Amino acid sequence: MLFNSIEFAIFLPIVFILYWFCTKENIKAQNILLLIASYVFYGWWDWRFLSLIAFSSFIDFSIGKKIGKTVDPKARKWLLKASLFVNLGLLGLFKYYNFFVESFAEAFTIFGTTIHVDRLNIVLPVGISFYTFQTLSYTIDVYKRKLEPTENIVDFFAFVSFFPQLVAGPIERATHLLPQFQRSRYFEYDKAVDGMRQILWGLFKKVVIADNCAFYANIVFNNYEDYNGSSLLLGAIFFSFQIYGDFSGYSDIAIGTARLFGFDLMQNFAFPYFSRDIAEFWRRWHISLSTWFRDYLYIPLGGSKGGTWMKVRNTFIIFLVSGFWHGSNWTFIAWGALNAIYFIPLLLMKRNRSNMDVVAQDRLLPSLKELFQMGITYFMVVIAWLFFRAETIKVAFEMIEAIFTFSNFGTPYIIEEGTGIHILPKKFLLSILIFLTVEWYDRTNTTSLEPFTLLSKYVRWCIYLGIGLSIFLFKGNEQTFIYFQF
Amino acid sequence: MNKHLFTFNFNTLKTFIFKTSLFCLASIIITCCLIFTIDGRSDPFYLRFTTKKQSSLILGTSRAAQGIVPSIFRDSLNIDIYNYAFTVGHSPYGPVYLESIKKKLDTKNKNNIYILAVDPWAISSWCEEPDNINQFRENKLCLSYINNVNSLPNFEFIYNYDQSPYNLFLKKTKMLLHTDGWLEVEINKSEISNSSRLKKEETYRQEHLPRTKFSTVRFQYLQKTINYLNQFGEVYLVRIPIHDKILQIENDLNFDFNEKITLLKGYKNYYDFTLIRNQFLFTDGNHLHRSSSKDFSKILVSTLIKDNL
Repeated sequence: MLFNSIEFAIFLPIVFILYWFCTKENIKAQNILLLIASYVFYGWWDWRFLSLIAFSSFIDFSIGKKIGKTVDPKARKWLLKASLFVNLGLLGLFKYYNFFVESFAEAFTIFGTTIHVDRLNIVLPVGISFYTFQTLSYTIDVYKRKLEPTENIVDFFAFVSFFPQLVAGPIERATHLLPQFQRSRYFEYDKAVDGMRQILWGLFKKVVIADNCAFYANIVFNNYEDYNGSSLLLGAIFFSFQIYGDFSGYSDIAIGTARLFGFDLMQNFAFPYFSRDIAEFWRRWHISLSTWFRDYLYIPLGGSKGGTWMKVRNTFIIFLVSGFWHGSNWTFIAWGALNAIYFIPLLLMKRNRSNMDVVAQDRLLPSLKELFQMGITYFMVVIAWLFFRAETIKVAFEMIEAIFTFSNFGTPYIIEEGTGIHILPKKFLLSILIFLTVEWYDRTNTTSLEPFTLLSKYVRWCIYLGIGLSIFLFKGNEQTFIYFQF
Repeated sequence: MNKHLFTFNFNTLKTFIFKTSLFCLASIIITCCLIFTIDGRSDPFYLRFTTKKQSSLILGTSRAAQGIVPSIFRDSLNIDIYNYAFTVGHSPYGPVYLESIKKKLDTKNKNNIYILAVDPWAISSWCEEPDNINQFRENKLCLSYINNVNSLPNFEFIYNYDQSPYNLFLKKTKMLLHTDGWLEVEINKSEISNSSRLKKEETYRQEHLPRTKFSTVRFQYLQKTINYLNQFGEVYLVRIPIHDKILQIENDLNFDFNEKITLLKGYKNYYDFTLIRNQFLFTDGNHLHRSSSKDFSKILVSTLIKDNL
């Protein structure tokens, strides 16, 4: 079920009404209802994969309980390894099997040997990367004694499958989300209103910004040979807003929906395109994944505590794994590697934590220096997105070459499909600028559209209706959420 | 304590639901208001799905949509005829168009007239297997999924609209769809240039012609359409005039088109107006200019009168 679908528009009010009116704020009843709703939500896409979530949940619930009862460190470690093996094994099978066998076969062609491999004709279960990481956080935290294992199977199953964030995050830690399933939840008006605002803005980001950007980005990326450098750059800029609008929009809707049910999910995007360096960008982009890798991979590997070589190695590992997490394609690994290359100089110069605050805090506008820093960082990010979006690494390099060939840098254009006319979607570019302005005013907040709450009731309603109407009028052609494939 | 808390939350919950419902209601009201602003300049098709069932029809592709003016029929013959022609993508002869015609047709009277515009494109397919119905382009377009073609407003059309709703509600085009179904393209004579015709000619020659193949199934469906309409009135087949260059391409596509038409049965007459093409002005070689559409419609009406309509 997609958030921007009619089905969800019917599903959400039904669950909301049942949740608050029929359960009488009884936690057990609420959790059972959420569990059923989550399984319906996921099963709407393909009910067969419900067994996979149920299996994964059951394994980690059982292992978690067992770890909690086991004192012997060796036995605890073996249990943790079993959980890692099952979860990562399923992820590997469904997501990476074909990639590995194909890469293996391709490697042999270097030696002049052709190996025929059998691809598995399997569907990638939606959200497998997200819920696998979420459930893994539980067993790891129980193993590390940061969390007491739960005895309540319904709570745990509801935690793993919680429908607002099941298929595309934010990837919640068990330490943060699971206790919320065990606490009484009462309806809070302000929280619910915040949630609705966040849903509205998330839908705007997805339906208006991302889907319209996707239209132009797809035209450019699918016919990249027909474009000059500036047009390719424009296509990459469109993609940067597509992926931001798509993913942060999804996260906003997820966070907003969870708030309607009395839950707090972690912030997943903190206005990353206003970052002044790449380290700040990575503190603001897909926060739930970055911090997951930091806590469960970077720190266990030694983090920044070792020597220079250790820091460089660990940083590379983190970014490569992060790239690989996004998809089984070398382009994602290249994207991760490029980000590591961006990041390492800051790390070596110990400047990776020099921009910890919000840009231009307490000021209306950024300074020229900040503007320059943001521009450079955004440009670097856009170049990296070329690898993320391009079909192959070769295509990404060809596009970069064209962008940096200044003789090829004329007026940007998009070739209109069907007519072949060269156009520049000026009105849409203007709407992106307006969108950025709203985000700029919002940059110090953790929930969406907060500055508008200071306005009078009537103005506020007009703005919300305007946003709602824009979603209806300016919606682009429906695109699947990009991060569903991860 | 808990009971008190629940009562308290229940009130705020009611306020929340009330305000959310109010927001949804306001959004729906604004949307409904917008729906009633859709006019003939908003979309070249929408109004055709909002009128009542029609007795007499003009059928075919965009040539007929732009080239045959129903008001001329009303003025000269006192016949209310409705232009229910779309484009070569949407309404070539086939199962989709025939079903849509059946939905639009008022079958109470038996003395109606039907003008079927025919040309080689309207009985050809743009797919690998020209006789494979599953591959027909129109299967994915609006005529195939709109079940109710006589509803004002037409929510089915709006809901399934495949472009940005902005185009439907707020954008105004240079095309005006009249209430009788005639699509008037507002291009002045001074705006007509050879370049637009040459461009169209090149598109037809380079892109359309290689992809297009004569379809026996479509030809059979043209016959089925004639047979169906024949029950309720007289059917006339008309080949609308086009520019010389486009005619050459058309002859390359189907050189024996006129002979093929003679194989059809059940129609009263077939008029090939491409023979008098030099009398008319074309916007792009393929479509009559609006002034020529009226001239052509007058010639068509007088031909029908001569034919003892």
